[in-house]
Amino acid sequence: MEDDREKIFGSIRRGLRQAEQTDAARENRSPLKEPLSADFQIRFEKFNSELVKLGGEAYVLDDFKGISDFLLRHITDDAGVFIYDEVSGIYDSALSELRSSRTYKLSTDFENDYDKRDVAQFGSAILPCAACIAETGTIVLRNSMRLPAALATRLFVITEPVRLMASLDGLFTDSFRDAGGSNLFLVTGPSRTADIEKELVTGVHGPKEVYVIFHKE
Amino acid sequence: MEIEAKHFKELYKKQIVKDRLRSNLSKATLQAVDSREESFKEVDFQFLRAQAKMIREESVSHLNELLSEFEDQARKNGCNIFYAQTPEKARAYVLDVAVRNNVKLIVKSKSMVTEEIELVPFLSEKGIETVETDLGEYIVQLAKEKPSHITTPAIHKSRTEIAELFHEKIGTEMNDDPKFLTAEARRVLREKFLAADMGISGANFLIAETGDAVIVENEGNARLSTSSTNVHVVVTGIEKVIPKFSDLRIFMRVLGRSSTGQKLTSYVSVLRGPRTEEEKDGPREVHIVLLDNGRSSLLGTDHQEVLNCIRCGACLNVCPVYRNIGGHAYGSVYPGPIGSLVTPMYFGEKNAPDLPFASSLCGNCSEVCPVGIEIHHQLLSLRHEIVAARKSRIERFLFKNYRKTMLRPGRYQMIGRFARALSKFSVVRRIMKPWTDYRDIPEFPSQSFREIYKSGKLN
Amino acid sequence: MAMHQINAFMPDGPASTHHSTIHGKAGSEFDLKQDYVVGPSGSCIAMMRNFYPGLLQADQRYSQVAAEFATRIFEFTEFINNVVGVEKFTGKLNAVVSFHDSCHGLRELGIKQGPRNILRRINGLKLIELPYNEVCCGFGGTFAVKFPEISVAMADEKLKNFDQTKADILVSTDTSCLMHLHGRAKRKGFNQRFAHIAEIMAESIS
Repeated sequence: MEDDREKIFGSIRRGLRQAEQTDAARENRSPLKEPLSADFQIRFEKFNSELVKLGGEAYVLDDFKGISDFLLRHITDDAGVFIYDEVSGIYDSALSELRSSRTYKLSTDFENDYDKRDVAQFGSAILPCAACIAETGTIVLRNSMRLPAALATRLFVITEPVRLMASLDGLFTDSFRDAGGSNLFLVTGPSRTADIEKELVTGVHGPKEVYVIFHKE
Repeated sequence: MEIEAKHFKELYKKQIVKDRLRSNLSKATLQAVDSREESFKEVDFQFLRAQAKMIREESVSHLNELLSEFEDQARKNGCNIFYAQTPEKARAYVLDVAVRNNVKLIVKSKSMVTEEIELVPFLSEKGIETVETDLGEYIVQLAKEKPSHITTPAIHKSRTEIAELFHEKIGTEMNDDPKFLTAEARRVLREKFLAADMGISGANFLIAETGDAVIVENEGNARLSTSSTNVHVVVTGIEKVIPKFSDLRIFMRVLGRSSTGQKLTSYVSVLRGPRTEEEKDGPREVHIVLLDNGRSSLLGTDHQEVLNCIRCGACLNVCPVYRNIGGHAYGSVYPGPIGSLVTPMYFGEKNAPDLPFASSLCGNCSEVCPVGIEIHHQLLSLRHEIVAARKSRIERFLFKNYRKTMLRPGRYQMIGRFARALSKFSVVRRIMKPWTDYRDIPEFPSQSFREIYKSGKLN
Repeated sequence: MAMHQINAFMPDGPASTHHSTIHGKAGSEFDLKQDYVVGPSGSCIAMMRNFYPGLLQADQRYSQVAAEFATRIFEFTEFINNVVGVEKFTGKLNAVVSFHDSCHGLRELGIKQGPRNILRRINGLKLIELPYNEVCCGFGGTFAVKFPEISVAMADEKLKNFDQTKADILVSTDTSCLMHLHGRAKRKGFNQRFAHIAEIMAESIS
């Protein structure tokens, strides 16, 4: 079907002839009234306080045993666990007890064009992340499978302290722009709605629970 | 296309008498106003707004270059771009994509532009089931109504009404707990996502330098609509383009705060075309439909700044007129202050002759607008155009005499002196009815200030 | 005024806020040669200060005059605060009042603290802030008669909030808001008083 490109561009050009062209004087300073310190503990506290407000939780755990116990405590159902291969590689020993006691699948178990119903059944998903943002309590995902983070009931992200950035100013930069992949996905707390009488309800379509674990050696 | 906004005078009279509607609206909008204020405390609003305004002005005043750049980048990323001047053309293209892919079920996330072109009724009519998956939109679709707010489509409905609706349409038990109702919607819609073979979404921003479509949301339904099927169609307006990826640091900070008082919405998807070879899911085919429908005709006019709008809904929440009559009264998919501008501009002034007048011009909308649109001044300027083109005879008579009176001090003072006597004339009384039917008229003092002043008593 | 060596002058003509009357005005406010022109309404002053210069931009005869005039006109409380000096005023009045921020004063002229500074200088006066005090009262010029149902619904919200404060007088800087609110209040059987801030000041010194 032929589109209206030329007609629309003609109309735009006609209009813009009358208009003054302006260029934004962009200022790079952060709009935050109090910029956040580089200290991990301070950033973590901010990150956690934002996440808790939204119904999520963040933890700093310093050994694999701690991570293992945390996951076993929080994953008690038998709906199955989706584990991203990257996490599984780094945290092998932290996941071994979980793997032996729960039904699970690794992302490497999925072929291209997998049946989306196979992902919808998982109660939990354990993912890596590209970054976390303290300003807003956000996790930044750039993974080769989009659906687990959107469909699982509980979302676990395991990452390292260096991934925790102070603010969105660090995220919306050229390095993230050029990092490749077809999508960048920002998750800020559990899925939520206030469509019924402005009452906040979590877990509409996406995860009801969000946990972020920083592994600090 | 004729739209309901033409009959605003009848529509608002039907809505304003609904006390329950008004109390729902009042509660919801005032809550949104309060949380908006709270959320801006941590950041410098005036700085963010000045930046956002400048970037939007740059975007709109370089629209041809930026659209070309966006188009090139998006094509490089593997997207199909389709420009549509009219709603008909946009609808036909989406239908064509669906038919070619043998689509039976479409999942759709919120998009004002799809409302503007009435896409869902069109596709359903053509036998393709199209399900709204945003909870508010889903409620409105089940009720066979239209959304009444840009970001909170079912703001007009109470929990009881929604419980009754779900009971009747999807067979849930009668329970008006929002948690229960939301869980029921999740159950029904999850099945739709898994069965769907095409997804439709809007876009909040299009980034020229990367070809990205940026979609913000809270529920996760947009993520699923854009990623769970093989075909994803973005339907949006040509004005949504912004120059740079890094500009998101400004817009992401103002959008959530302005609409719901969130520092950032729960989900932001920055989508750069179909899945790459490394990816195991995501759409194989992405189409981006860019609608004009009157937008380009605003360029170079006094109304160009209206194109800066990022559809946050803040102006609706603060508007005391919106709060009292609700979105449906406006008879347009775009209600509230911004709707009173956009509706006549996109659909023609003849289609919405009353909307620019349906404002007390209090200016609260302009005060909260995150991209600095002078909404109430725009309304005033639209009024000016409409009045210049057409004026009721009585209004013309009144303003003519008002002018004469104002230019002649003697006449002004005489009218003042005889005001009480004048009000006895039936013609004067009839003219004053819209005032006196609802309010008392002030008692005229025996002496005007001018008379007291002249008598020298003040000194 | 006389106390503070300010010579007041009352012009013969009215100030007009409708653009149809601006062009070709002779003997109107533009011809006032006084140092300051003061008005009891933020809405009118906003029109003359913020809009006349724009509307008359293309007018050879008046564009400069309007721009110059815009620097000399003051809303009443602006004049007291910025020209006379609010510290020169004190009064005494036993009253509990609430204050309505008129939209055009607030948003076009940025009047927020000025009137409150004045009220604070009246001994015995207690100010109770209205909830949602920056929300419009619903007057809006022709809006009040074009869409009277909406206009009075807005007035009713305002009156409900005013009633909650238990104050006796609603004070404002804009006569039109007051006329509208008072008219509606009387119709609905409210007994409170509605007064311009100048009236309250006058009573507090008499």
